[in-house]
Amino acid sequence: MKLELRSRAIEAARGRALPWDDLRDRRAQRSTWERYVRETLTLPAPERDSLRPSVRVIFVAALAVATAVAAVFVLRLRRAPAVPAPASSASALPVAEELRRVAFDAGSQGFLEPGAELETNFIGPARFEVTQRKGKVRYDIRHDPQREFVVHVADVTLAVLGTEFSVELRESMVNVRVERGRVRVFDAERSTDLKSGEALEMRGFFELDPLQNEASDGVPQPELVEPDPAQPSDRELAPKSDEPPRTALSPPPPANPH
Amino acid sequence: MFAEPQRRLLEVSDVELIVAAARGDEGAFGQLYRRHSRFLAGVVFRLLGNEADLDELVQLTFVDALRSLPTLTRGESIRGWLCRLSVRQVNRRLKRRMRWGKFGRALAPLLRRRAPREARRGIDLYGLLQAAAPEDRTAWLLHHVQGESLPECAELCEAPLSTIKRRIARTERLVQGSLR
Repeated sequence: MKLELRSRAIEAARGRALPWDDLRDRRAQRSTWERYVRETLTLPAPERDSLRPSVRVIFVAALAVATAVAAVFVLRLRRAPAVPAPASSASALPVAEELRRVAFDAGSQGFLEPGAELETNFIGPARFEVTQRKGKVRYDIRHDPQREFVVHVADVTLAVLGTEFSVELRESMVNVRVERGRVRVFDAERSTDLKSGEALEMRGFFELDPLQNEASDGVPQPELVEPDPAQPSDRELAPKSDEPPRTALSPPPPANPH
Repeated sequence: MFAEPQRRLLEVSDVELIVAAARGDEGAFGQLYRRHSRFLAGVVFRLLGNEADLDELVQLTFVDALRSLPTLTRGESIRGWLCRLSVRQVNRRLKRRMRWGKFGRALAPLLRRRAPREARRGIDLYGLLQAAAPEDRTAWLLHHVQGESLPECAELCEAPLSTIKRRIARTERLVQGSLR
């Protein structure tokens, strides 16, 4: 019985019709040849095909990462809290974009507003003299006990050691405003000490004409520096301490009232 | 080489055809394919028991033949060589199916239900053979269904004759044990 069943099963398997017609044969022939040509005869093509998706995937992934990083960066910038300005910066002069920066030696510098004119008169080991002829200039003088910085404006002379102040000469009026440190102002009649936050306005009797001034002949002029965004802002230039510097022109400062 | 009319190809030997096809002559390949494709499809169909992978295995057999032309021994029949390559492809496919394990066994009843009517009337031979190892099953089918002699089976299965006998005997026990 078992043998009969087995023989019947084998006969049935032998007698099964082969599902292979001409259409299927031609289709298989074409696909076989295409596969052989693609995989064997033209090797670079499949290599390129195999590389293309990976390159594409890498490019898309890199683009996505770059976009995400940029988005995070922008969001952080937007959410960053504004740095609170120090209280003393309220008196700091705003730095206009069109300010010209003039670099003196020893790290001191001046910021000239449009129309302002500045000239170096004397450069010595104990003294540095400039003449402000026009406009408004803000000075940021690095503290040096051995060297005095002198500004001549009209017939007014300002002597400083290390401070930050601004001087404006307009229509024979000299306006001095001290941001930090101490400045001694000499005019024809008297001398006045100005401390941080103080200002003084006086009449200058004349406005110097650069053509008539022969004192600056032969003195190297300060270097004009293009505006640099990396330079400290007015906030950074704001006074860090109310304690005035010790200058040769001024007596030792009194005890800090604050 | 085969720029002559198509009838000229009929006079070209299988070896010349396959050498030219391996070099990229599509006409030679077409002629070779037409000579042996139907026979190979029949062998694959009898070994597999269904037509699910029939086209792909025939395709793989010819591609493998064109690639492995150096393995063709001198004086060997091209048809026998192609048949051996197709048996190798079938065994690979059956081993891959076996790796599915439980999934394949779970799928077996569904396959049996979808078997042809004549198979359902009698014994589902291929359903019984699913439990056999791929090499055993192939040897048994080649001998009993395909009708090859034992030495031919050994040649096609690329195994010693004794091994083929053991495989066939093992499968025979399985089939006899499954019959009720």
